[in-house]
Amino acid sequence: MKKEKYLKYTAEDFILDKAFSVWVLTTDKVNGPFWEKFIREHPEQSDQIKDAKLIIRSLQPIEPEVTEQQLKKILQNIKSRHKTKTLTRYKWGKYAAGIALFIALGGLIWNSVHTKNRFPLEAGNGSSLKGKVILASGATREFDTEQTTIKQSSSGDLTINNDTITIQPEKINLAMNQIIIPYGKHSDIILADGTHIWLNSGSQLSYPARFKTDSREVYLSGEAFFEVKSNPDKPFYVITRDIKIRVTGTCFNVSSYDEDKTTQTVLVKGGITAWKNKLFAKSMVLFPGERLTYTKSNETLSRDKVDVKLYDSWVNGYLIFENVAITDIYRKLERYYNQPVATDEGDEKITFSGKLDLKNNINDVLENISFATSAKHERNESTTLKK
Amino acid sequence: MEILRPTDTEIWDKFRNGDNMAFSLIYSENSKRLYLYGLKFTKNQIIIEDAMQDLFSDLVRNRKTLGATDNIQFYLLKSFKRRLLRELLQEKRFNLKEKDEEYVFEISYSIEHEIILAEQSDQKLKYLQKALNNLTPRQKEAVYLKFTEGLEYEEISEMMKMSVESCRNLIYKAIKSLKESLQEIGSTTLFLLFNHLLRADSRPNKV
Repeated sequence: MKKEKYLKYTAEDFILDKAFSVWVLTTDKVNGPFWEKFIREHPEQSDQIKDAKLIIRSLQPIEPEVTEQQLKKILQNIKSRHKTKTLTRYKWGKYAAGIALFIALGGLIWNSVHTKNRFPLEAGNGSSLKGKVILASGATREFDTEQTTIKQSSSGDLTINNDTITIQPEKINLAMNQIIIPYGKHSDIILADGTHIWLNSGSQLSYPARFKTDSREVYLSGEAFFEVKSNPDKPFYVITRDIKIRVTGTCFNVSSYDEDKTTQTVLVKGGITAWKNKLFAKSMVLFPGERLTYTKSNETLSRDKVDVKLYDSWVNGYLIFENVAITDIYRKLERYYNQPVATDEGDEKITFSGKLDLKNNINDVLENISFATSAKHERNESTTLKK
Repeated sequence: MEILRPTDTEIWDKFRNGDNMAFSLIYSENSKRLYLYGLKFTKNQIIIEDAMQDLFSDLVRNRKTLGATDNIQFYLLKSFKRRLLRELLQEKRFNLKEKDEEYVFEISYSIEHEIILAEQSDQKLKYLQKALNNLTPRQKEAVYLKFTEGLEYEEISEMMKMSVESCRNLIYKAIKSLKESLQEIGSTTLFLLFNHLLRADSRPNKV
């Protein structure tokens, strides 16, 4: 960019300059250094720039809330209206399933397009007790989540313990595999590049059987801990409904459940960049020990320092909390054990600090919480958690 | 920021060729922006939802005969607006003013969070807020399309059925009025001073 033309710019000129407004609204990495240098070197323009930034930001409207439910309902109506007019029920069944998954993941699933592909409606189907792999060919495989090792080889083969599933080579480039972990279960997978991913209960991960040449992209709904194999030439992306995370090699935890109010990313080591999964999104760089929180209600990103142990301990079979409302803890336990936990009025005001061993059954775990706090709990044996 | 996705032309072509995942992608990326845009014209959510349903149903039904586009967002915003305004007109809930092209476009701005940034005085921000509220509906729509949707002048002018030149002017005038509001403190002081002198001057002639 040439700086000469900006020397005589008024605030109005700056506001209407696309490069300038993109920088103000997105922390544009490419031109950021240019503007920072320009401001340093031309203090005489600082008033105009200050006004221009203020006006551009003030023009961002306060938006009323539009919920996912509203948007889903409209989609349902489009679907049902269309079904009666042109398409057969059978065709629409497939169509609907594809759409439902899409919204659950909300990401940019693109390479997974395959006519025979069938997608599950929800990751956390409470009735299933087994993990499930859905291959791009449409084939599904269920697996026990206890002591299971899932490995994706670079040739396209998928191994679950000693059971190897071979994918036909001509299909590999399009293929997107999905792993679905029901509530109450957890598992881990090693991808072809050596990246290790631990999936928590009620989570779903989609990844290409073979990564593209210039990037590695996976899609997540739910919670996972990532140990990404470093490869600066092929950045690793985790795409969730609300945020997109870029990594070169690092350890971090992402929690992005549809039913939670926030999406949280905690970095253990390495470095990541994250941004909202939408147009004009600002990116944020995260350092080890930091947490990035995306709040769904007002669509904001914020960053703070946290104790990482509180976020990655589930990988090792326990949970650590520090002054966390027990209602939030109950929600985690419900997912982990796939058992509903009844809450009493006022529970949200009670907080718990300490370590919970997830190898214990849920009654013991709740007992520990009750012991440390004044909360009472009840559990209904007959129902299972519904999403 | 890196580009992680295929081009709009590719996505749109896949959709036209019957690819359901491409449709899902288009819906999930654009439904919210259409809804929010619709809410600027009316608070009646039923009409907005009807217009969205009509739009997408027709797209699916006519996918084979649709033209190409290299900007899906713009394509959808444009056809959505046309449908929405037509429905509003039919329902007679559309506030038509004397001129045909005048319509409602309500938008709430809040600059409260700017106060926290503490770079600006309260008074200055109050003037800016007032100036924002005083933008005409058409100015509001044009700046919304430019600074929130990120459209180009050519696209905005097409959506608002005006020449590119008038569209530039419309946006420029809006921006200028906001800029001037930030200078208002200075001019108010001057005005008061001037007024004071004037009154002092003219007092003998008044009652």
